[in-house]
Amino acid sequence: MLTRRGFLWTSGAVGLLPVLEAFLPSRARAQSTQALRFVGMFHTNGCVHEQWRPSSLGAGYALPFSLAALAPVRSHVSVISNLRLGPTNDMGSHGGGQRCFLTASDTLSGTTSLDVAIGKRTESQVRLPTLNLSLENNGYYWPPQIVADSSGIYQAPNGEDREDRCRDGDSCLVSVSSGTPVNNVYHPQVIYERLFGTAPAPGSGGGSGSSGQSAAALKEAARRRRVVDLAKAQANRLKGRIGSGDQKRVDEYLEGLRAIERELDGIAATPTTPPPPAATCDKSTPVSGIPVDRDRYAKLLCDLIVRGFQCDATRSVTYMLGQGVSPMKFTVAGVTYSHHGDASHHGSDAAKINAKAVIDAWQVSVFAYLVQGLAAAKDPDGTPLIDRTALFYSSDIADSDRHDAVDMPVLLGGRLGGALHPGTHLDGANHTTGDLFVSLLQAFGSTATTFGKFGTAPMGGL
Amino acid sequence: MRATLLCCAALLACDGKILGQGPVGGTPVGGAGGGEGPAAGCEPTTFQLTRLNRAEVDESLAQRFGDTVRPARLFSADTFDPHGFDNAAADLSISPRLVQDLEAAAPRVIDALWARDTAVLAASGGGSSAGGYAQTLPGSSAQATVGATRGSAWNLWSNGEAKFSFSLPSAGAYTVTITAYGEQVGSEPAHMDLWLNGAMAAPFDVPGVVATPTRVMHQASLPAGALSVGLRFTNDTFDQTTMIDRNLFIVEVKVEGAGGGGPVSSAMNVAARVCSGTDRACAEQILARFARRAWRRPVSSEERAGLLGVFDATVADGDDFETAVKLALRAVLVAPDFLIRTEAVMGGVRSGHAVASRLSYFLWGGPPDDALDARADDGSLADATVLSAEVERMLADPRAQSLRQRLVGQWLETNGIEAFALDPGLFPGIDTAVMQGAQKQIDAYIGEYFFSDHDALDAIDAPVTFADASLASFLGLPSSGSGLMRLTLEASSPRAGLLGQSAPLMVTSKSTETSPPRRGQYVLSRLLCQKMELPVGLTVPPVPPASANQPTARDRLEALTAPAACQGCHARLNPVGFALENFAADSRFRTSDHGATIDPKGTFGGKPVDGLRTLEQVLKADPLVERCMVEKALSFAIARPVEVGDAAAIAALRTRFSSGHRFLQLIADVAKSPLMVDGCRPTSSP
Repeated sequence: MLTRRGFLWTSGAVGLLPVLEAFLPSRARAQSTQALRFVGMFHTNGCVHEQWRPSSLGAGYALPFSLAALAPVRSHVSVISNLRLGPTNDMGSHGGGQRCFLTASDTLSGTTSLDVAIGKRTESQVRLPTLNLSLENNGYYWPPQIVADSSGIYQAPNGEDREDRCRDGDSCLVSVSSGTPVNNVYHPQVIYERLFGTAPAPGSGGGSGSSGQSAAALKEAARRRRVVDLAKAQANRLKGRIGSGDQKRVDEYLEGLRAIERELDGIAATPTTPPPPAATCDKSTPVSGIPVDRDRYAKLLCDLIVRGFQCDATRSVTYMLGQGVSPMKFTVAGVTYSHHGDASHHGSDAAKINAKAVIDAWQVSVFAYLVQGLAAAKDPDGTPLIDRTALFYSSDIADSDRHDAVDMPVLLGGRLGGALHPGTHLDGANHTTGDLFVSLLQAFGSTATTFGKFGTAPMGGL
Repeated sequence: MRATLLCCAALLACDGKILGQGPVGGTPVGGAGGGEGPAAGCEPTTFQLTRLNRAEVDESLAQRFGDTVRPARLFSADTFDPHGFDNAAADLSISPRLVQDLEAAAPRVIDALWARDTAVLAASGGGSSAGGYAQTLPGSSAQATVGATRGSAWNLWSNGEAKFSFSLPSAGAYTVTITAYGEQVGSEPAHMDLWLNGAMAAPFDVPGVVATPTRVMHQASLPAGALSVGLRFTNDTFDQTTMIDRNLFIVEVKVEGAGGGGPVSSAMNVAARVCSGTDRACAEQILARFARRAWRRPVSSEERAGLLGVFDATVADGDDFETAVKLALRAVLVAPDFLIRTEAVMGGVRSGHAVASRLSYFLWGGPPDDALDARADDGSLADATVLSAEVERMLADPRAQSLRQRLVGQWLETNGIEAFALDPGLFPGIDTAVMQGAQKQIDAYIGEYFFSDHDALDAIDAPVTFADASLASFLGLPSSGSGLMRLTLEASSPRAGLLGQSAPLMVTSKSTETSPPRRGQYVLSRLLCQKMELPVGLTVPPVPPASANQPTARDRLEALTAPAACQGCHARLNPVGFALENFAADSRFRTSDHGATIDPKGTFGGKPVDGLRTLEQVLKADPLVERCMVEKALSFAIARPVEVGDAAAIAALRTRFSSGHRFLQLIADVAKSPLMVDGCRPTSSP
């Protein structure tokens, strides 16, 4: 089967390298290096530095108010101060900061964000090269509009509300692929289906995207291959008839068909290692709607990330705890604040500053929960996932009121296969977040020495 | 909230020139495989291989096959230039995820269609359904006194009637089945009266909600010929405590002859009634018919053989007839020819099929129907009289109603105002009901000036607005009773015209305050079609917060944009924004900003302006507005921005538009223009 596929792809004008790569059993490739993972987590609306920045460098620093939730996971996390987004003090407020968040660039044109760059390096080994999550979609998470069922879950009607509501490159995206923003998903069931395929039938022992080799799964994979082959034949028929300007669209289509073939190759491949014990990879517990309780919702998405990593369905994830300029409401000391309008623009009002610090402490608590989850979950060889993961946690702006881009709030979690040595408070002066990305990408096997526009050298001492 | 735009619009500095765009390299006219060359004096232009956007994917399946899965809603989102349209060919790239999404959705679509059709077949005893009548209309096809589409449903947002037209082949007993749901409020469910041919037939409660719609049936003896099914929403209300408006949504109306038939018109049928039997010949018939419709063009014998090959291989693998045919049907949808509009490449850019698709995706947002297919097949669209009649027919069809949202709503950025997030902490009184009121207001305003017999230029300054009770109370407008009221504004009213409606004022604001440059940019780009871009290398500082020295937005912006580098753009952006400063981000009238009196005076286009009404008068007198309307309609039709080379086409359209400015006539003229019909443009003088 591989021989036939390789031949077809050669005729499909796709380069020789992927063909050769396709001859390698996917499991063998997966074994050749450690399975490293990445999480880019977006903290909304900057921070209050007085409540965020530890007063001493190195290990043993006292946790400031906004970082209190790190207490149980501080050995897995470093705090980095003084990192900048780029050369200017203001990177264009929320919009510019958000564009820069994982691209280290001040324009989207032609850029690729870190999660996508890492996703490309791991795409041959996983079902999903990248998974992009959001807790809030353009004001979607606005509780008065949401009615929960008796278990506190909002069931989106008829799929209507599973749709991403992000529009016009609004402040709701951080992932960028060759200049094109990538949408987030926020509905737990959609996330589940992306990760594991449709929910498995009881007793069938795996979802449609599993590497299970039941006769039925293989037969359906063979059927799907016929569909893809016909689509390829049609695409090649088209290619013979069009001018060079239009070739791009057909090539894009063929690229999509190839992604399906990779998935089918995964189903067909005979595993060279025994499948991981069921306890470490949980595909079968389904999820349904959106928990109306925000904390429960945020943690459910963390759980899905951990499950996705544990089942090796993806190795690169972004997770936005809110959109930029988030209007999400929080009640602090009996007063309800709109996160951006009231709390982040505190105008030095003490009650508002306190509210912002409380909101930040909650955001950090979600991060801490994810770190805990990754520390508890293990790869089949017994290594905790946190040891093979890097979590980059930051925002689009630094100071919540001024909206500048110096001294960004940055947390770096995980050990990334030994590339990171967490547990301290580092000084990132004279570095940009882009420099940090160079270091992370190198740990993923890249030889790049720059990233985006502002990542100009790897950052040591991490 | 549009922070990305806001940041760019906050401060523009450039020379303010209108940026033109060069042609984009596409497939030569005629296509490599097309036998037809361009007409004499016709220069190749840019029908790139266009792909369907998500809405068009769903509409293609729904309009052509009656699909109700609407799978593309869950596909990854399309990206496009927010200043343009969501159908722009150059922007609609194809991500691997999109192809994967489509491949994953194809079985769901095909299974649902197959199950539907075989149920029909079973119900009619396995034979043909001769004599049985069945027609289903989506709610969105209503002719209604109030409301708008929401997806495929019609939303009656206040008391009023949605009418559906059927044509019954014979007198007899019929069953009318209505699927509807409510946005419920209070203890009383939404209520709907069914009227048949103008007579009250039956009252119904509609307790269902979107996830579990209510289905009601009514049997009646009806005469042959036209049947009007009217559904009247009778108990609209608004609950002050929960801020929820009761609304009625009509999902679909089905009329079935008592003689059987089934829920699907034969035109939408995919599986049953095409042929009987489970042999290869029947499979071939089903596949050829489906591919013809899904691909919007004739299917070659080679392609037919390819599809049959999928069937054969599946049967050879031990699968049964149904599994094998369904798999090949899936292949039809996963082939690039469904997602990508390949008809111009496979048949020639001027082939009837290419013309038919261009017309239908422009006017309907969906594929050609059987009638248009017939015109494409026999080549008669090349006849100007036939073409004209087809355009008229298509514009009269309910599917053309979608132009309000697809063309004008996108152009004026007024779609989805309901979801626009103003900071409720800063704007007390703003709530869901007010935002919904703002949506109804602008939709009604657009309907009046662009889609009924009005001069579209009057939209700029008409002393007219619309408001329901919530919006009227929020804006301080007179309100009498329920429903959406049309209000004539007095000469002394500060509010009038398009820019005085809530939606344009809100959508050009930040969530926390107005943005005069953004409003200026809206007027320049949306009404005058002038494009500005931030010069490379210029850094935009943030607008400082209000202070004692600089309380008003005008104070702060004038200081910030004083440098010459900024004035290239801001000399023209600022006066427009300042003239609108009497309207806050929430669109309410105000005379002061942070305690200081607002000064709306300035100069625009060399003429003095003093607030919104004089600004609108200056705009209305500007010939660029008329030209811009033509450009927007044309650009939407041809799925690309207009280029310098389109000047002749624009001039020709403008000549006709200038008498009376009937926007619907402009749409018809655009549909019949050489750019649409020939896929190329008249050669300008050498």
